[in-house]
Amino acid sequence: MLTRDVADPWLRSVHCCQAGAGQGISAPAVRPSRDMKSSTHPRFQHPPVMEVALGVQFKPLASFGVPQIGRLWERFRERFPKVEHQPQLDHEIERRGAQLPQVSFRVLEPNRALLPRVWMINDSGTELLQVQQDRFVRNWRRYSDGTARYPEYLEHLRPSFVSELGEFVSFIESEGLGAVEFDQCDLSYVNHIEPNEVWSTTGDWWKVFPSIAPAIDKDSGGPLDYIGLRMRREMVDANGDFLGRLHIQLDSTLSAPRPEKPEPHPLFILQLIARGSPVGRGVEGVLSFLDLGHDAIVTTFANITSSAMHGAWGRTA
Amino acid sequence: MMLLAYDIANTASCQVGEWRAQTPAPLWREASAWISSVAAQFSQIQKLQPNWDSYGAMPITRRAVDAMIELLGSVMNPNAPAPTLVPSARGHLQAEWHMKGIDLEVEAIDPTHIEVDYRGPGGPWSETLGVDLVRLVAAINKLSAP
Repeated sequence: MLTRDVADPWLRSVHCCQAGAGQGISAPAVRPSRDMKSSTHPRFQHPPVMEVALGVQFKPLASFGVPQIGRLWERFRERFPKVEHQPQLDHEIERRGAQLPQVSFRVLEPNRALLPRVWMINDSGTELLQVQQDRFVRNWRRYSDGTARYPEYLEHLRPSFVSELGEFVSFIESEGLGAVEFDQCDLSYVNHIEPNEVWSTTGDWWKVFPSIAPAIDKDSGGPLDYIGLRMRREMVDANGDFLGRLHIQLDSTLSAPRPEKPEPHPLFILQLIARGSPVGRGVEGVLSFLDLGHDAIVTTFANITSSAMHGAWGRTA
Repeated sequence: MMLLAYDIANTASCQVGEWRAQTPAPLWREASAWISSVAAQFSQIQKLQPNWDSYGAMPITRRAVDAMIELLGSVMNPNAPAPTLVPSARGHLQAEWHMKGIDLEVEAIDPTHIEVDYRGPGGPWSETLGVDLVRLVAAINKLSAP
């Protein structure tokens, strides 16, 4: 269902899960910013964000194969000198009316399955680009550097995505590989919520998520020792028309050992993913949806976590 | 999600032509009726050559197959009857059901451009759908009723 374009190793070990018409663009006409509601967004000095991915899907570029990926890497190599290969992600489209339990199946062509998704990674391992025939994703993460500061959506993540998506589109066009026609975009936040003075065991989850924790935790039976929650809600425009969905996923797990914390300790992983159709044409339409997704994610995060945790994370707005 | 491949030819391991069909493990037995039918039809459709109708028809594109696969995966339920897949001269695929007093024809132009023609209870209606498939799902649910 959820975030297969994030690189969280915990998500793999625990529970790796998871349009309007195509929006063609003829040039990377991008604008660095817009007047967003950032001043009204909840803000934290030390948010538990571990990874953020800004992604866009488009109609498959049939001629975008291994040689072209190599040439693309030359453009990014100075900033992203490391490369890894991953299996391709499915083309995922949010549709109103489609229910999760319904049957899904697909047809694979063996030759197509050989085409990789390529990660281009920076030296410190905190930033990466992902490309495949129908997807471009930009990630920020701090698994390899637990002290790395969350760089903020407006100040760094969004402008970087705009710039590098523009470079990607420019490359595709200059190589004559076709038009990049966006049909879906997504914004993913992975939060690792560590125990602190507010909570220490999985059964304390109601101290972290008081608005979604059921009363059963508080006074009946033994302690709750595992959590795996999946929720989703529709994102709609002012007319009620379907734009996409916000996915909310909460898991409990144990931390991986680190030098400063060699013993495993409880950990909550909260993923918030907004996925849907571009709201308008071209890159502007993609950014409009991502901005809506960011609003939904930040607001939902603040709404479902406790004020005690907000204090621990240094909420400033 | 774990996916289990199944084979149309021997119903255990499963490949159709050069394509492999996959479905979530818990559902594949229930779903095999319509999936098997659809996969077998895809197998025949992929053999169509350009000008297959002798009137200059385009070959069925991989994109058209993907669009129909994505669509069926989104709107079908385990009890849905298999559609008849009909190639169009434009290189697209149309899924058709004519049963239980309902005529439903769905042409997938691409994954977010779907043309639907429905005649039956509560109809008729024709509509071009994008990502809001509520009306189409309702129509297929009517076809799925015992």
